[in-house]
Parts: sequence; C-alpha cells; structure tokens
Amino acid sequence: MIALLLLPLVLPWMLPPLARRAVERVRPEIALWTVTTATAALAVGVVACLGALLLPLALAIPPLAALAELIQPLQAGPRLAVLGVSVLAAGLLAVTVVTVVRHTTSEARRLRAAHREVSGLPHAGGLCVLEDPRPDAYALPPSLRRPGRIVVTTGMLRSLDPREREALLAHERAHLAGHHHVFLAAAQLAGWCHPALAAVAPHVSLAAERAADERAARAVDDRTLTAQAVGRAALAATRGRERGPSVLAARAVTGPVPARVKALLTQAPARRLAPALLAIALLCTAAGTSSVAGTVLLHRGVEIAQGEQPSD
Amino acid sequence: MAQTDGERRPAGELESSVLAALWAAGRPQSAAEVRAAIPQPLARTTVATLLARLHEKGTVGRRPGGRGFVYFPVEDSHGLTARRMHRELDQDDDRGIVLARFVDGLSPEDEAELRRLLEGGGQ
Repeated sequence: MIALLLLPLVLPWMLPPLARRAVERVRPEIALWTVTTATAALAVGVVACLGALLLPLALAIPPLAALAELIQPLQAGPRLAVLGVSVLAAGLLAVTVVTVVRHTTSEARRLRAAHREVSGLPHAGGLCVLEDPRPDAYALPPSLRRPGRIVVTTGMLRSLDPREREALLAHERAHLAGHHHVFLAAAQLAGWCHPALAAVAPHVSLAAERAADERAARAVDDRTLTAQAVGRAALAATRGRERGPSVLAARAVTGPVPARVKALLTQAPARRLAPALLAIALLCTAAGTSSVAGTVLLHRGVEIAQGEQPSD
Repeated sequence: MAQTDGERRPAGELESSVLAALWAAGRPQSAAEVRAAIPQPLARTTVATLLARLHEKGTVGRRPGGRGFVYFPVEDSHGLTARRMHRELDQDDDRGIVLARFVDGLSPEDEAELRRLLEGGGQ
C-alpha cells in the first residue's frame, strides 16, 4: 500500500517531456487546458499522497493511536521502512506548505503593488502607458477589486510600427480575455508542490503566449506581422535591459521567443489531438488510481488495527 | 458612408490604439496625424470623437495648434510610476509567471536565431 502512495510522487517526472510535445504539436488553447489541468491534478495527487503517508507516523504515537481507537499497531509493511518513508513525507509536506505560502504571499503582494501603481494612471480601453525607455509590456491580471490592465512602456511603443503595435495590443487583450493568469497561477502553484511540475510551468507559460499570439494573428489578420512584432519587441527589450548573469543562466536552451516566432512563420497548428495528450491523460489516470487505491488500502489497514474484521 | 472595418471594433480597442499612437509619436499630434498613425481605417469624425472622449476622461490633454487642437497624452510625474513598477516587478530573481510578459530578454543564441528567422521569413 505504501508503494501505491509513492508512485504518484514519481509520476510527475514524466509530465515535462509530454507537456513540451503537447505545446509543440497541438492547438495552443487545447495544450494550455490539457497541460494545466494535468499539472494541477498531479500536484493534488502529490499533496494527497504526502498527507496519507503521514498516517503511519501519526498512528505510531501512542496518544494519537489511542485517539484513533487502535487496539494493535498499524500493519503497513516493514515497520522501519514505513516509518522512515512517513517521516520523509512529513518533512516534504512541511517544506511544500512553507514554499507555497511564502511564494503565494510574495506573488500576491507584488500584483497588489502593481495594481496600486497602475490605478493612478490614466487609461484608454484598459491600456496604461508607462513612461519608461526600457521596452516592456505585460497583461496585469484583474484582482478582486480592480479590472485587468494592459501595461506598455513608451520604450516598447516606440520600437514598433503602428501595425506591430496593434498586434502587441491584440496579444495582451487575448491574455486578459482568455483569463490566462488563472492557468499560469495554477501551473505556478503546482510547480511549488513538486520539482518536476516546476519544470512544467514554463511549458504552460509558452502555451499561453502561443494562444495569445494566434489570437493576435487572427485579430490583425497577418501571421507574419505578428511574428515580426514579437521578434522586434524581444530584440528591443534585450537591447534595453542590462543582461545579468541570472538571465543567461536561466536560458541554457532555446528560449520561448524564437519558438513563438517560428510557429507564427509556419502554418497555424490545427491538431486537436496528439499521442502526447493521450499519454498525459493516461499519466493522470495512473496517478489518480494509484493514490486512491493506496489510500483505500491504508484505510483498510487502519480498520484492521482498530480490531475490525476485513470485510471480504 | 458604410462603416469601415476599423469602426466595427469595440470603442475601447480604438481608444487604446489612439493612446498608443499619441505616446509613440512623442510630440503633440493633430487629429489628422493621429488618424494617419493608426492602422485601422477610420473616418475623420470617428478619430475626432475618440480624441474628445479621451480628453473628457483626462487621459489626453489638448491645446490649440495650427488648425484645431493638438493632442498629447497626460504624463504622470516624470515616469515616477514607471520607476516604481520596475523596482516592484524586477526585485526578485524568481519573478512569477502570472504576470504574462510580452517578451523577455534573449540569450545571445536566441538573439541570433531570432534575427535569422526574421530575415528569412519576414516580408
């Protein structure tokens, strides 16, 4: 039963390569939905299994065992191995909770601060312009009280021609209209629960960018123009930004911008289904089945320790 | 006159295009100049209406120019907000991904790859 609860902790390592293939092959909106759902589901599985694995440790403590009305020790496998795994799970769960709380509060604080700054600026149709020679643009997601905003610096507006500016605005509108921040937040949260799922977050981010790129290309009715807007904005942003060592370290492989430009310069992906999607579905099913089966077996073990007869 | 393609878009989208064009210009613009600087084909009266509405909302200022008014975006106090935003968002290395950024900086390899793509595929 312990092995069944350990499997969902290992299965997430299979998601990053599948996520990459899904984002490459399938229509971006579908890839965005599938990969985000999968990473969120696997994260829930990880936390649930870590939680279930706490049980043998908790029930080895006499007062808690008495509280659970155990009349004999819980039999879950070799006692030392089970307790060892249980202690490890407790440590991992504590680290996860601390990580999630710490990152969530800092991220929320940052978004609140950004909203506070932007709320003082005049806007037109949701667009706020910052006077800043460094080219930058982002979609500030809506908060509880404030609507979403498109924030663009003057440096960015001035490095694009009028038609490219429209592509940029259409891209940012697509982020807000598609509620992409929900997907990004879910992927990020999942990433804080498991290191393999942290490697999935960039793929979700790329899928969101690709979805917004495709929508922008439809809005301006020109894929090449949209590719140019993305490419020229990235080149301008690179010139305008001091290139620290951290940026270089984070980009050992080809970054998302060339991938986006390449995708826009070729035909729009039309596929709704790919082997990668089926593999992702199987992966989630396996993790779900394994954690449910493990929990059911553990529950039965507890019942036996409580003196109940096995029902079958 | 039949509605042009641009005029079928929501008013908010047109307003943001006008604001973007005014900021990109960097100096006060007449309504005719704004009309020329946005890619949507709009009637002159439509551009005038959009500018009047933005002026009413306090998003753009205007003063008498050669013929009619010239319009300019209302600035915040010398880019103070921009500086604070920059500090706020770029303070940590682990900046989240929830704020969907249009583009991030490029590595030298990405830059070379991008130039190759734009020269090969663009126009």
